[in-house]
Amino acid sequence: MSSWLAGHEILVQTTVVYAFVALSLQVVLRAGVFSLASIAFFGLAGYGAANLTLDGMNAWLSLVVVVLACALIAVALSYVVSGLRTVYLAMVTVALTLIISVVARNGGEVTGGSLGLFGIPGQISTMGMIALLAATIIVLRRLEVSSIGRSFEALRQDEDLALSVGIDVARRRRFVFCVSAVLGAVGGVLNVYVFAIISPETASFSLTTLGLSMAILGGIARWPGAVIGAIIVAWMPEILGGVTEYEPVIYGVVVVTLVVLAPSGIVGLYDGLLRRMRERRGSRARSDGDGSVEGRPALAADVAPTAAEEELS
Amino acid sequence: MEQQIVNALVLVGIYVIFSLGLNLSWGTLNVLNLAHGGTFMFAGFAGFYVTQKVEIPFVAVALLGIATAGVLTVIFELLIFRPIRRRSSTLQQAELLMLIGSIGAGSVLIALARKETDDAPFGIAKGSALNVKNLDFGPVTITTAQLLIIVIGVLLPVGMSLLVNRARFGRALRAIAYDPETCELMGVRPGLLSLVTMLGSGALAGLAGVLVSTHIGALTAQSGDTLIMKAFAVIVLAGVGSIVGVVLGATILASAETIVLVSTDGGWVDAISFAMLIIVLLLRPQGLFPAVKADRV
Amino acid sequence: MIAIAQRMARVGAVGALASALVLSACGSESSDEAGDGGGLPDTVTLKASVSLSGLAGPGGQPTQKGMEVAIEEINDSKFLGSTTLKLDITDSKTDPKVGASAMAQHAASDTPVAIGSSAGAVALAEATVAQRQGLPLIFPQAGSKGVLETGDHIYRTTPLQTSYFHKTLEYLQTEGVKRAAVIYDSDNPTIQALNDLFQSGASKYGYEVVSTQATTSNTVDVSSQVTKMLNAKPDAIFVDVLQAHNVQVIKQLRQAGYDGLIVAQQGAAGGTLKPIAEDAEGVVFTNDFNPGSDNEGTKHFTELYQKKFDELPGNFAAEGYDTIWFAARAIKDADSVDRDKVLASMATVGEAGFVGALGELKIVDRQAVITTPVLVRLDNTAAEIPVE
Repeated sequence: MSSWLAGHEILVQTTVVYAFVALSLQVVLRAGVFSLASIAFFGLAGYGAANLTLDGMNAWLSLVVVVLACALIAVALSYVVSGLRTVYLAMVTVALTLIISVVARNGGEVTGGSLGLFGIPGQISTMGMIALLAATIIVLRRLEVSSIGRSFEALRQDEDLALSVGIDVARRRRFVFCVSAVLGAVGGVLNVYVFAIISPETASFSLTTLGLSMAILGGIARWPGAVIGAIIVAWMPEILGGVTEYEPVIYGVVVVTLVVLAPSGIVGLYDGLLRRMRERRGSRARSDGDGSVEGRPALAADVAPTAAEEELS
Repeated sequence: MEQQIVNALVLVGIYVIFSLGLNLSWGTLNVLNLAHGGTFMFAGFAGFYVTQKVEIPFVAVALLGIATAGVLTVIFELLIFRPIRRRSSTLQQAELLMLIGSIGAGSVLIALARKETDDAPFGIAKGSALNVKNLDFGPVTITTAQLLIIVIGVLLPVGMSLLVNRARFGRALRAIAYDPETCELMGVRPGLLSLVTMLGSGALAGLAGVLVSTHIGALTAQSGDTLIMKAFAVIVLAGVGSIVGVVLGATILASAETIVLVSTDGGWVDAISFAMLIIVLLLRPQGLFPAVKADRV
Repeated sequence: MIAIAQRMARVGAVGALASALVLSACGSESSDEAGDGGGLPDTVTLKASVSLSGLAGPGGQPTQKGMEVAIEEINDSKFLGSTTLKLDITDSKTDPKVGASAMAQHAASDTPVAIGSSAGAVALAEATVAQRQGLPLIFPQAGSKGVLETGDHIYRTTPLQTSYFHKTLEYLQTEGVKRAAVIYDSDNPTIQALNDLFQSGASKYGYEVVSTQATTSNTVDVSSQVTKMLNAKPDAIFVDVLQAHNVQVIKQLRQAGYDGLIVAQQGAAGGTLKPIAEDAEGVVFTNDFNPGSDNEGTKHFTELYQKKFDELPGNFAAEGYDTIWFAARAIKDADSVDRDKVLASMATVGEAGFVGALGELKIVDRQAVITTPVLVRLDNTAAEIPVE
């Protein structure tokens, strides 16, 4: 049994890293802020932690220092970019990620250039990582059910309405942008501790795609979606016993299918199932206007499309 | 020096042809189709795959590539973008999902090509490829492929501009982007029109794929990745939907890249488009030639 | 009420999933206990992580074939006495995460020594895991910086290109090259190291470097660099780029009208240039292996390989073969599957050297060194023909 753990330690640690990435995207997507900047912070934080630990700093201390630094950067950045909308915000944040790659590739000693940095000594035990994840989830959970957290739903569905009831939309968007960045940063630091290497390819567009897949697969409505998505994506090759050759193809097809047929992911399907069960029992599924998150599907799939949308298709 | 100008013009041509396709689907149908890069590459891949087995004239290969990319994009519209639009409750949500969906679709194409080519570069087989000749004009040597790209790069925007502004089809296209309901009342069929648009968008990606494949000799499965980011930067600079803007934007980007390439060791070339993108979005997000409905940012 | 039920259901689901995973994986590794004290068990299973797919796949697959030839020969010749040697390969898919994860599993298994992947990033990740777990690890290829520096458990059985690149420079001299240009991928340290050798060898080998062009391994269009190089009118051009990149660079050189000599490095080997075989005809470079070589070890390996696979082997297969043989010799010398003992034997066997597919092979400071690199020229089918 312990040999199973020893043999799968990397996989478990990878799952934790993935969970942070998925959570970082889930948090923003749920609020309707299409920021993919957490991936850029994943890379930035990774390089930061690599340099600090190579210089001898303790692993946990480096984690704290780097994450704090990233939080500050995120705050500054949030004023600049979070005014952008949807695809523009997405592409700008992707561009940020790519720029970091280019800087890393040309960064000489500090970034190790195109080869990157290796032999990075920082290490955190697997239990330590899991504990960190658990603590993070507890905090996120509390955020989710707080009034701030519940307003994120409103932000995503109808910003003008949110504004009209007195929510400081701009401030909330910046806040959620920063939370996402911090989560991405933690993921990046842990990633470096697991593999002891970092390169310009570490935080790349494919990581963005991977993160989005995890978030969509699990469902962006609540934090369990991100964790479920991370577990599935990390363990799928293991469970399938290496179907290998067509794996990336299957992967892409799954993402597309999900996006079209079940955009609210596993969590959404589960919620929908629950709702149907409740409706069958005759009790009221929705309490209008109290903003409750429990039991409500992430997308208002039961609302008929407006005439305008009908014309678009 | 003059030779470098030729190189820059070729780059402009490639960016124009590729970006106009993306511009078409984004400007008229609000879908940022990130599979555009994948279809670009897949057109070249289709050419490679078929010519490995049978030798056909280059024109046929070109048509095959264009058709493949066009059909793929129509399939994406029918299976991915349209259902998403139908099922989403807000436009914002639809855009988000279509973006992710297009990323997924693109990655399927890339994975298929990678598997089939073992990640090695692939090109049109010798017998079917365009017999690229060198033409000397004084201090400058141009290959027939380069000439083709430059010529198409000039004719295409002119043709498209005429089509969009004068022809009935073009006006219908602009109309459905503006007000789909009234369109239907006027007898325009937005459903069919959007399919034709996506076909055109894909065809342009395919054309670019065949041309680049011929010019460079080979593509890799990842060839479309950087190109899509650059196209996005060009379109944002241009202002979504503006054809003149795309030509101008492509010229600016290609010139900047060539200058950097010539004067430095080329490590920072890609960063130019990313930086340009960020700067434009922060300073003048509507681009050089803003669209009439400025509700984007 | 319902909320609590939901929460419990959620926890339950995750718990169930976790337990299912744990149960399905428990008790999978079968172990053959070694005899009492020294000696070898009836079966020794070597674990290998090889990139059979992804970017390094084209190199990984022939490596696997070479390894299989070695396994067969070792068992048929009863090299380990009554012990059978088995090989268990996992595909690292040119992905550091997959490789590292696989290496963790290999470390938890009974294998006395493991084999790693060829690509730099993957190798680094695997080496880290192996070193941390005290598992001896041998790499074919993986010539990336930092791999050996990971620790004393890491060995490499492929010689570094920088150790035999001078043969290419010698060729430039014998061909009377006076003006030479180079185009190189600046984003790869091995490539850069070769470029450094090319630059510093100018006076010694009698040429002048008239143009140096940098590019990156994912730059598809190198027409600007080509233009600049041709303007300098070189007698020879050194194409120093990563495997697949050779196709685009050489093709564009020829298309721009360059008919002169092109020298390259090992990245152009292994049939990489087949898609542009006609343009690549005449390209010269130095390889660590060629089936046509004159030495005993190479001839012996080539014969075995041809019998099994009905084709000529390339350098990847040869390196895989030598890797397995090195592992087997170390195990025999240690007469044990204890990892520390095997590690010590690897040092001894390496120092003494042995004859393998690459000819005479010695391992100095955990790095292989050979005495017989081969200068080759590509014919019009991109096959490597030794240059006399």
